[in-house]
Amino acid sequence: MRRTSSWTAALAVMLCGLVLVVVGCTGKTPPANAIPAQGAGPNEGADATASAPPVSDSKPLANFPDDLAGVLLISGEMVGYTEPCGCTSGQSGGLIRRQTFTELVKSERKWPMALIDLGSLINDPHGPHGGMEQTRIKFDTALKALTMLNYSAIALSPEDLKLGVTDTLMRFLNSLPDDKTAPKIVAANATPTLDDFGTRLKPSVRTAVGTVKLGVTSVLDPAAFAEIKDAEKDVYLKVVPPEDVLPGVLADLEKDTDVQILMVQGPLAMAKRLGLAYPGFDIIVSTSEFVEPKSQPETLHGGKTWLVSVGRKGQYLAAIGLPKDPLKDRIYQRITLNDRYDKFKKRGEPMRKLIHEDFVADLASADVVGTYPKRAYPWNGELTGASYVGAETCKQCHPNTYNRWLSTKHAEAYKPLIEKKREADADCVRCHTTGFEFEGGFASASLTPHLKGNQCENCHGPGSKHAEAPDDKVIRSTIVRSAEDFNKNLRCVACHDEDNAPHGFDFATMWPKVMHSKLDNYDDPKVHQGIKAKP
Amino acid sequence: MSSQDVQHVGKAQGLPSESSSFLKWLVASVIIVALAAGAAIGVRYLPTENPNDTSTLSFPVPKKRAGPPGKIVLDESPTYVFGVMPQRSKGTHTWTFKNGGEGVLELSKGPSTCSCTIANFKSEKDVLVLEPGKSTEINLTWETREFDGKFEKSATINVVGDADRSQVIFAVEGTVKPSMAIMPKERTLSFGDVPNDASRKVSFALASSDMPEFKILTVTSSQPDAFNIETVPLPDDERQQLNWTTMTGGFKVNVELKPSKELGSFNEEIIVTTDHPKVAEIRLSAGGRRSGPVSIVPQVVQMHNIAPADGGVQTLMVIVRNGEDTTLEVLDAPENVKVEIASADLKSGSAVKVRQFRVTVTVPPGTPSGVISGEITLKSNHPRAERLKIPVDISVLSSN
Repeated sequence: MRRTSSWTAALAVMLCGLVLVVVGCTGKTPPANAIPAQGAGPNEGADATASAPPVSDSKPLANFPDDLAGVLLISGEMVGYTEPCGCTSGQSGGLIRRQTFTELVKSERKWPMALIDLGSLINDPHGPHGGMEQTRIKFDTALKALTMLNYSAIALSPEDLKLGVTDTLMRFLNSLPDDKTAPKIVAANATPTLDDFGTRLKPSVRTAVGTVKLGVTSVLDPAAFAEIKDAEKDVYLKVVPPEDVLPGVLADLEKDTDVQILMVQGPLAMAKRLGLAYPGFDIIVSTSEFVEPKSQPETLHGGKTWLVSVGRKGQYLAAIGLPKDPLKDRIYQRITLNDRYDKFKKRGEPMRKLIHEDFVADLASADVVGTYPKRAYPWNGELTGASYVGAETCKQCHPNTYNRWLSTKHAEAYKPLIEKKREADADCVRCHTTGFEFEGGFASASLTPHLKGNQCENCHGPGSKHAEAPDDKVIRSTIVRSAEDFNKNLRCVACHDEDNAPHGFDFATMWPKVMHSKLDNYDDPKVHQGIKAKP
Repeated sequence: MSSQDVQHVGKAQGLPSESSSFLKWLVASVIIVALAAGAAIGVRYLPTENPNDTSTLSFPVPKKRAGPPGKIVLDESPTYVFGVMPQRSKGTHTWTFKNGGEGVLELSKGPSTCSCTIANFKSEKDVLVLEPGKSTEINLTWETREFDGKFEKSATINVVGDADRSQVIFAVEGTVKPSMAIMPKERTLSFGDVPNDASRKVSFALASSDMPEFKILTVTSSQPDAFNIETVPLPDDERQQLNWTTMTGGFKVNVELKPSKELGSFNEEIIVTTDHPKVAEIRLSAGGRRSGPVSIVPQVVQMHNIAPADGGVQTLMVIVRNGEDTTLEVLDAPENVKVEIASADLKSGSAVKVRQFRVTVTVPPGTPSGVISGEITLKSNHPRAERLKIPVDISVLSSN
């Protein structure tokens, strides 16, 4: 009996082990978020958002089988968001989380990884953000960050060339290391005319994840290049239609790589057109219409080609698991870089230092706040040339109104800049000080300490002329503000925008919190004498 | 591995009937193998590497429930199309989410890009238990605010207890059509790099979806001397190009930056007032840079945290527009900064010929630690740029 029992036991263990092995090894059904790489794609061109798969979150990319050759991570269109967008907590994205994620994949899954980026690292440098100089420094920082993350390729993008074509190319030259392992800027249809730039700008690059060899190329939209306002752009960069070069580049990559990837810096329609025209490409990376990309790629050529987008603002990554056997299915997962990664943030420490210390130090060193280009406050007539006087001056005649303001968060607006060490960051200073973008407005904490925080004159305009002539009715009527004006003309939304008020800015709720109508009386003759405000 | 997994394998005895002892051993073996596998997985994902890293390595694991599974049943597709919406409006859609299985489901809110409410949820971290046969409502709200164009927003509901899926992504999509369409949508007029002796024209367009006959009352700028501004009716072909096919009327505003003696970046504003009752005023930023006949790229030599053993190198390009005969030489540089003019070439594009100088700035290895500031001075024979000064901002780390 005992004997029988032990044999039974052994048999049972073996059978069970065999069952587990068979189930584990031949479970051909891919995870539900795996898109068949070969064969028909039933949802070609369709939104597959709906059918989310079972997810085990116990490890990064939990749905990916262990025996992959490696993982390709795709990012792009960060458009200046090196950190989660805005200053409100709970936002997604940021390079620190990106590094945290890659480090987790390395340590927990042990896969080889290759990283590529679609470009558009920065926003329009002439837009209302931190200004041209800050955007330049941010671009350098982004290049250093992608070098730190061991990116293989970054697509050349029209958005990044808006720094000035020569400027952008020079930054590639100076900010990317001159060695084989450094990221290469990729553009098949843009040729630099200087040899110097040719060391950084390549028509294609080859990289690998384990045994799988990847060939990566990119094209930029000639129409978008034509739109760049730079008289010297074609002195340094010759751009031709993608169709002139892609057949040759693709044929070259097919000689010695297993997976061919095309990044398209142009409209989504252009990416689809090129994907359909050149079926040799396995993965097409397109720009995104939305911040949030689709949870699954579209498929072309019966599922052979994936059309991948990664959204905007650096909130997402696309992860593609590449099997050792090229005939097996690739696997796709969209990665949301949200706060779940913050508990592992020590793994992003090098990136934290780059973004929170080195970048900020570079901004301070370049004095981007002090040198921000100012403009005249847009009013005419008697108020032309008025300067900012600060809330303490206003208080002299409007003490109750001042106290009302003092009770609002607007009065505390400078504190976060100190707490988060962002006094040198023009993009932050813009909304946390008074009159920053205007002549006579905030210049620095030492030069204009009376203009820290979000004070009276951000809404009413510079007040020196009113302070000097308080009974001038024309001036008074000009600086008076109404709820209707603020609501209709979106004045609050200039700062309380989608990034900084992600859950919505409800004017009707917020206006009463700052409204201060008729809190003071002006019986004291002194308030009618006027104040010669300090310049 | 959870007890549920073990039960599943045990129940998979649709195998031919065996002796009871075999079954016992089979079950025991499954447990042993499962424990061994679980231990292996556990060991594999134990905290590793940095002993000072106190964070655990596991993300919150969606737990599987013991017992029979529940089943998510939706009354319609989880993607709902709102269609066209005006700005400052709110779209709401409600799905009925039923548990059509035999076991309970646990629902919790995952990442979302829109406002998402679930009936009976008390807080963001709340978990709603849905008994078999019961339903709840998932409500997605999208506020268009000042958004312009196509949108897609989603909310994730994490599910525990369904054998087939652990989350459902609900999405809403559509197009927001503002009362006043503006192109560029970002309201930024980018003039780029403009030679200061030249002008450059940038245009923007306006059209109204609900008041095609609106009028522009004024167009002014924060720097009236800097711009010529002209307003014309929006040509039909350009309206088509903008894909404003459902609108009529509209205006095109041409903003021409005038030549100026001023150099450097500018950041002005264009202000449009209209008779549209909802859009009385529109502000667009107008930015760019006026450059002289000579451009230095980059404009500052900035090398921070140089390792003293390695030194540092930065390359600059001095570009002289239409200055084929220009010469350049190094006049002065801060101590420990070596400046060389490495090459001088003539280049031409479709609009301009340039003489370009490649300048190499080197901080030699062995340079003492500290900050190097000051200016590099270059001398040229160009009548409008006899001296070129390049700020230097260099820091060399301590050799320790």
